[in-house]
Amino acid sequence: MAWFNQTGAESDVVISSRIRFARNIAGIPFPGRMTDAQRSEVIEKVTKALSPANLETIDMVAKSPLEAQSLVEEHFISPAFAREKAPHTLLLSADRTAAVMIGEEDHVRIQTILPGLSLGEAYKAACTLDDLLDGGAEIAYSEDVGYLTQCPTNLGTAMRASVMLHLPAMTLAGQIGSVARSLSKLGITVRGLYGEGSEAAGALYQVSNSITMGLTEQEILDKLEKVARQLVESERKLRDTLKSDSFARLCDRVMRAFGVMKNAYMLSSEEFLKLWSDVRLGVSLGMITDIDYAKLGGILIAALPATLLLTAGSPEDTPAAERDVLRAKAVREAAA
Amino acid sequence: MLCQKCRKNNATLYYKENVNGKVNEYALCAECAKELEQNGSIKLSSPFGGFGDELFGMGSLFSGFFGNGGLRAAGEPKRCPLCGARFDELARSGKIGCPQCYETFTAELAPTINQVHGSAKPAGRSPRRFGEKQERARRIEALKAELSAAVQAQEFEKAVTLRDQIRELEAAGLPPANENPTDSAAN
Repeated sequence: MAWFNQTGAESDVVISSRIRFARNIAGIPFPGRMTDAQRSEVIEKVTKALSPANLETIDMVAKSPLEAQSLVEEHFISPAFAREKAPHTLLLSADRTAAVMIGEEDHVRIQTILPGLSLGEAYKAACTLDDLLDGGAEIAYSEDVGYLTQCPTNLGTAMRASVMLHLPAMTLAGQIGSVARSLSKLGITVRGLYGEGSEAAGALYQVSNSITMGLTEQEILDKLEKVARQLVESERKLRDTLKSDSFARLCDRVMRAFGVMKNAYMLSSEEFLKLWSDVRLGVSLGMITDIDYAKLGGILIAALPATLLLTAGSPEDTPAAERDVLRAKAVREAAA
Repeated sequence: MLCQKCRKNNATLYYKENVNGKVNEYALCAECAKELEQNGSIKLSSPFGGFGDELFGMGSLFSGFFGNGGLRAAGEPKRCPLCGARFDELARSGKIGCPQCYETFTAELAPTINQVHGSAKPAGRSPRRFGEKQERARRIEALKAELSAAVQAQEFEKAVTLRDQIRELEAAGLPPANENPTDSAAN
């Protein structure tokens, strides 16, 4: 069970919480200037250091592009890691809450993802892996600029903490843009998860720290958690207002979305994300009761292009129309 | 080099963007950069590029390039002893070559680091070897305070014990930043 098919605290709004540390080994060039031999050395060293954590070792070079892309859709790896041609390895925990990329932009990217609002727990899990790494390799660090990273923007804690939020009511109310602008002044970045602009597809947003220097990890987490809780409250209030002000209209919208989800024969990604968001909103308002957040989370990932094709056993170059038929089928079956 | 927008001021900022695979590069003065950032044409305040899921993306921002790279005296350019990178290579790619580069190019990188992070210093976690060092420095400070109290109180036996403890700790690692090197050399 991964973050997407489980639920956690504040699951009506918060989909997941994630912590990521960038780490490099002293005395070895960063990935941009590493030889393949040095890459292999880093992979071996890191794998050995983290062996007590019992992670599955996945040689990414042996993965097909579709398999790699599916891991991107599940948020276990980055698109850059999926594209990498030189040796690179993923370490993945059996419960799918920890993923360590070796040979991405930095030697090591430790990542933990948990469902719901659980930054503290995710941080603790990331620290456990970081301590193991520290015990088995000399981590590049300077007292002047902190953890040394290939991109100077990550210096300091080299930590990025983020929460993924579902904000359909705030999106409908046209509030995301102004919220994002005021949060950016606090060192918090708001981004649409799918698609650009303030009206992200699926009303899914990633809220993360942009500051890595001058604050401790705990201070960064406290600030992000506070912001996340405020967003949860605003979103809930707006949902309640929507429900009381235009119940029939809203109810019609979410029930129609659920109807299409369960009956459509073709679904594009874009249409699916819209339906998915409406149905999730309907579940949170008690309008839809025969599907839950965990199931919806599973459907979301299953309907993304690479995971969809991989599960269906279809090739990467399956035409869009055929893909839309497959998507509708997967969604129909899962939502039934 | 003049700013490519106003063509009046000197360009102090090098901005690189990648729009659907098409790479555009601009040399801008601070004023124009600020203006373009405010109207949303360029993004300086979001050093983590990428969208949605992506990891701390490569910063498209690399200031200090013109200010420092351009001023280097003629002759063989400085190279990082570990990875062999020259500073202009780092500036062009927006990527640092290796951990050692931060030491090799401290002065050259300072404007960029300052622009992204301000004057803030790192806080929070550090590798164990640094944590131990910091802990040692704290203990030495505490012992020194005790030592001077002991001297004031004319408790010389205690002072000798404390002095030995301090020496032992100092020998176990680097001396703390405020240590006067002549002190230890004198005995």
